[in-house]
Amino acid sequence: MTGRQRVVFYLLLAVVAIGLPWIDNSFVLTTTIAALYLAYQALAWNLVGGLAGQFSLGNTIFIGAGAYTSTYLFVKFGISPWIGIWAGAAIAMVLAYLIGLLTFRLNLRGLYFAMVTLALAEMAQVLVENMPALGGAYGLLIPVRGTDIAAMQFESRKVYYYIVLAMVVGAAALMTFIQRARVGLMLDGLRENENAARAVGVPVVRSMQLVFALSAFLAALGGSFMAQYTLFLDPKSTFAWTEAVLFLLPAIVGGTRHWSGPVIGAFLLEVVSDSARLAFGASVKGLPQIIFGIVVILVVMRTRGGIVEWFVEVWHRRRTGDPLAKKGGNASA
Amino acid sequence: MPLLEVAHLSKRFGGLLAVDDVTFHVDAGQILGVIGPNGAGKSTLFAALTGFEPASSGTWSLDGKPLQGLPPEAICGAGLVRTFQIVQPFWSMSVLENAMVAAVHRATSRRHAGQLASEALDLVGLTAKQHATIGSLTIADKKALEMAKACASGARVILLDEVMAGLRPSEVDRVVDTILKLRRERQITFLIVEHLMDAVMALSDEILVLNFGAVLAKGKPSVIQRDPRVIEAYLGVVTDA
Repeated sequence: MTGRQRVVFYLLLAVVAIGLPWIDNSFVLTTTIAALYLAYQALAWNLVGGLAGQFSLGNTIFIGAGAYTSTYLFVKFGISPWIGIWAGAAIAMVLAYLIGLLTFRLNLRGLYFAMVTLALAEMAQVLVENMPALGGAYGLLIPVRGTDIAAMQFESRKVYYYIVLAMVVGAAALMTFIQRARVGLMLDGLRENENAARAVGVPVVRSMQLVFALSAFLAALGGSFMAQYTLFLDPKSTFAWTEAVLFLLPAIVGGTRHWSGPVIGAFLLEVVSDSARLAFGASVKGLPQIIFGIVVILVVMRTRGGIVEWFVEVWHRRRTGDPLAKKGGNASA
Repeated sequence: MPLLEVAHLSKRFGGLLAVDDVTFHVDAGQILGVIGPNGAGKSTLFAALTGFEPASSGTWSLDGKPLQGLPPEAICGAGLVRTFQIVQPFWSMSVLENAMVAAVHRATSRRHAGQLASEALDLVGLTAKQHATIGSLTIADKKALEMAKACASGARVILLDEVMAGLRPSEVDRVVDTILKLRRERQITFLIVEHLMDAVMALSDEILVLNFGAVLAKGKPSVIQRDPRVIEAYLGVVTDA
């Protein structure tokens, strides 16, 4: 895209995003909030899963740390969630640092990293289930206050929509900033060939720990947001491994190299999942999930690098007429 | 004044002593050829010196700074950089981006990394191909890129592991020229593991001969070539049947 096309595109996108609540359709609004939250968590995961290539299945730990911290501080001490979310994010970053110490320094990569983070998430669930102060297996209910800005509660869903929209924009900006910074180049190198990167001085462990901590930071803020949105929180649905998988799928389906990947993936998956449920949810048991699975498989098979990368390739082929034309190196993203 | 000093370096794999109490030093600006029969421990020595295989015992230092126990990226940061026997480029990136990844740890910004990378590519003669994909490079270009990466990472000592293997004679000449140029213009010191005897003898100031992991001899190429122990290690003992 040329510079002018890009400006027009982003302006249109901004108008649609900001104007959407004026459609005043509760279903559209709820679905869009769900899609945006999915996109946000996928962007958070993508920092460590996509940019650093470390397949975390433990981001639910950070989501839970955020959600439980802000909720606990509010329910027990009446501390405003506006403060609690930052406490939760800080705790999540410390946790990510410790998990990083354990995994990155011990050279646990690939499958091993995935398994260790998955096991830690399971442990987090058991731990919280056995902590009466955090509501045990029953979870925590946030007392409903109607619209109370200090309690981060709003009767209108539109407010939640704008909050999660701002969070997605922030996460996308952070991802882009990382990619264009020095550390982005380091991540490009270590993702592709860790030994070769270390041989030329890339501080592999430090780079991974940085993006892991930032990923945890974003995930925790998201967890707090979700708790405030649903006003309820329990260990089983917070730490379930299916949640961890759900939050990385959009990045895999949409693409991991550009912020639009997780966002497009999230909206596609949300629309597929919701329409399949609307169409067959009441009639054929299990069919919505099967349709969802087939769509994921088809997209991944067809596009490999995700929808965005596939689209860029097709675009270039159209313009240059060269069947082999591919967007040059990804480091210049 | 020796730049790189290695003392009593050993590397044990279970019952096998792959590097056996190796002691030597290299002066600044020197080219030290490391030769020895297959399995003599040359590549293991390089891997141990650069932190890829933790040494079992021994010490080594660059310009007085001890390097034992440090991870590869820190050893590179100190100025000791290896290349790999099998080239290891970052395949999905352009030539320039490859060199930028190597430069970025000592660059103040991405732009600065780009400058350092361009300088390194210029030194090895890859400027014209800086936007090329790795897949389009010849094997000689890929080896030149490995040297450019080492150079871009700020190397004071480069360990070249069989950088001439598989090259045509004209390409070998190009590698030799590049090594001499890097020494002349960047004052880079080299350790080169090489099986091409003509090239390594012509290029090296001194030769270190390894056999069964231990130092067999060290000296000027002309002396090494006539050393009966070296000839025996390479050709075997001639016995009367």
